[in-house]
Amino acid sequence: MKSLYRFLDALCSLRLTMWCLAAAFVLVFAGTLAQVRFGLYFVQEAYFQSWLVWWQAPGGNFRIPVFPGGHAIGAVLLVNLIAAHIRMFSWTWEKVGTQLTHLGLIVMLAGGLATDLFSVESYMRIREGETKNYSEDSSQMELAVSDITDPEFEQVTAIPGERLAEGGTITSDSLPFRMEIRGFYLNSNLQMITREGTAVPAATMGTGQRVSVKSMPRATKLDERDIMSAVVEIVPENGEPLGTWLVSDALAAAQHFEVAGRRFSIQLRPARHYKPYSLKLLDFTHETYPGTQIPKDFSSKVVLDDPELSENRQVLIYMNHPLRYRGDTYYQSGYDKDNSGTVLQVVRNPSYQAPYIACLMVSLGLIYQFTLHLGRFARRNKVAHTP
Amino acid sequence: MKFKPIKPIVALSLCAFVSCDRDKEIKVYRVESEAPAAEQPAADPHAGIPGMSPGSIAEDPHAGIPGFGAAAGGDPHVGMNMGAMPSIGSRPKVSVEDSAPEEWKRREPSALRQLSYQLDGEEGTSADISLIILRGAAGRDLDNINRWREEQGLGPIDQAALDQSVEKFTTPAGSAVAVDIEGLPQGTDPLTNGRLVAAIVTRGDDGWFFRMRGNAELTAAHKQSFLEWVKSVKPVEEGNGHESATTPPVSSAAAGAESPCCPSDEKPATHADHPSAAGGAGGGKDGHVTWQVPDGWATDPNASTMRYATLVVRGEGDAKAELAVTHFPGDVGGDLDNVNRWRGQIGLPPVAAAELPALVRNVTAGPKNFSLVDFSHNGQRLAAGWTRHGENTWFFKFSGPNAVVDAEMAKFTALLESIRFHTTD
Repeated sequence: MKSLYRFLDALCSLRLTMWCLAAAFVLVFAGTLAQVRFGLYFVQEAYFQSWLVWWQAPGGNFRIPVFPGGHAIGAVLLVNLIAAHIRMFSWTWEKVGTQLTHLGLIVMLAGGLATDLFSVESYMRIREGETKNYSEDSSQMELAVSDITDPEFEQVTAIPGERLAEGGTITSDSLPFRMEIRGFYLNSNLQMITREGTAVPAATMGTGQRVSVKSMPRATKLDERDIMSAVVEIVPENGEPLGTWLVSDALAAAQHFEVAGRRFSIQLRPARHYKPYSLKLLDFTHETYPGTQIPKDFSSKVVLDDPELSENRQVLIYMNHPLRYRGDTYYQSGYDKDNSGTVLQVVRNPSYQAPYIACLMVSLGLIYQFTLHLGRFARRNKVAHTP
Repeated sequence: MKFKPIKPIVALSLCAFVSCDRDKEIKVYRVESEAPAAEQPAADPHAGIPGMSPGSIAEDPHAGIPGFGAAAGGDPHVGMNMGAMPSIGSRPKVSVEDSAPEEWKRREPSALRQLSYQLDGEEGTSADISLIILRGAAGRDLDNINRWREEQGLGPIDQAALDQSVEKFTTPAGSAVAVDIEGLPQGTDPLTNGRLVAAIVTRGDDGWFFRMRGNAELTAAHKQSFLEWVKSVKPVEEGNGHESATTPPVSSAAAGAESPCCPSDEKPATHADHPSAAGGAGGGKDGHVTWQVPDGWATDPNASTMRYATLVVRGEGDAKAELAVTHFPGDVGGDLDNVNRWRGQIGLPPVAAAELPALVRNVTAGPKNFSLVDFSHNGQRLAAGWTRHGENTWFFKFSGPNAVVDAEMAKFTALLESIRFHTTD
């Protein structure tokens, strides 16, 4: 029992808070340095959106944890704060402000963790006149294997890029064949095979017959991203393998094949998030400061069409004026170089209101506490000066 | 006090593992078909490449996929279980229409080739002409051109040399750079190889790669018609009533698009040695303007972003003259104020309104008239031309030491005469 109390004491202690904050400082510092070598997105994932920071032995297949990750530090801090809050809670009017402030901090931390775990960010790129009902996440690739036998509908089996990286065999109840991953390239360079060249074709079927693939170091710059490629062998149930196909982020067109009288397309593409509504871009406006190419303002006039909710209206999306609809928030994020297309950042964050609520709670708590102290001070001052 | 901290820790851990696992979930959903799939028997040696024909890419000794580089973008990720949802939109397709010379024989396009032609010359000579559109391939001109040089048996060049060797112009599809590479790689047939004329058009995130490769004399003879063809190719938006025979789908990616914080690096002015080189086009809907860049003039890469473009031309030693291109809404205070400001910049006193007409002469640039003033004082010379277009006044101010400006003045006038606005007033 004593050890339990000691544990609870430690859990509530200010010392633990300070250790967590110190660890957070170290993590941010190390992450900032690592960003130079590994790039922003990798570091975000490996340092801040992880429970542990791992060290991979050079040339080795094993890795060992070397530091708590952002999730671990945040979670311990959150638990520490909650425990301290509960342990020291006492319902008196003098403490209401402090309690509210602490509760605000808890909401802030919990909201941050929830955002990290549950928010989805993607991009919707629309050309003028085009209609889109899905956004794409270019940091997450998916192998889309679609049954296109029905000319009107296609059944898509979307296999995450991470699954391809694991190699081995991929099966799905929706597919009458299995896929053997014969090669995987996190970042790659494709080269057309020339008659004089000695390069080896990447695959035995499709575009890969005329293309060689080379592994490349991972992209680390902010304006770069990896070009994922894989070589996939299609093996029908109870049949001979059809051959291997090269799928790559660099190949724009889907490739096709037949299995058991059904027709399929296969394509590696940015992961898609479909919406039950669509946006049509009517006009994209890009203004610059007079006489310069310095951007001044961007706006996208879109038609929001939601047959399910009978919603059909025009919306103007521009800087700091996002469209919020059905849990998605569309921010004006970028544009095509020819100014005829827009890029909207699509954020689905169930806890997006947490920071607002937290700030409100902290503000109210501090105002209350400050006013309380000011009142006391004023009363004491009055008493002291009363003759 | 009952306190069990283990519960929130376990709950948080479960959340974390659930979020990790969902990234690897295989999702199955049903959507409306985006485009009719091409008929393609599995046994076909070209299976997977709709419309692939013998002699296009498979047997093409010149074909090369322009550099697939890293593209912009990247965003935090979390998976999302979609389930079945109705599909309303469709994946974008790129269709093109073009105007090719009659002597070019049209060939079947392929998955990679949007357009494909063969040009036959005399005595068995021929050239192969193609357009390939690639997603996310924009912005890597140096890599692509160096690869093409390597294919022609030549060594790589650096950015400065590239800038000196390319022609820049605009097409309905976007801004273009063109290059002419002469070289016969070892072991290749001079009847079908020896010269490559290519153009790269940047359209959004996509790169449009136009190439004509073939016998050196034949290719050189048809270079101009090739460039005219490049300028004739324009995208046809899906569903606008135009039909195209060649519509392999090209999907888009959010990556690579311009971010508001990082404006396009396209600058309108270009430098090229070729006297017929055209100036590039500026973005922005307020003006889409091109001009011929005179021989020996070059874009100043370090110029102020407050300007639309800056070109420099060097004289002897360190002497150089500068052309500054700017545009502003309205008349910017009126002609008299502007002229007097320019006069002040080289130490001349202002003139009265009544004296102004005598100082201004007209220069015709297509349908436009430019007003031009030319002053010289204390070894400095400043010439400025301006015109109204839409709501803006465009200024082209050429200034520098007398010796340089005197020598280049005819070229400056020619540049003014070559200016064309491609948007309506």
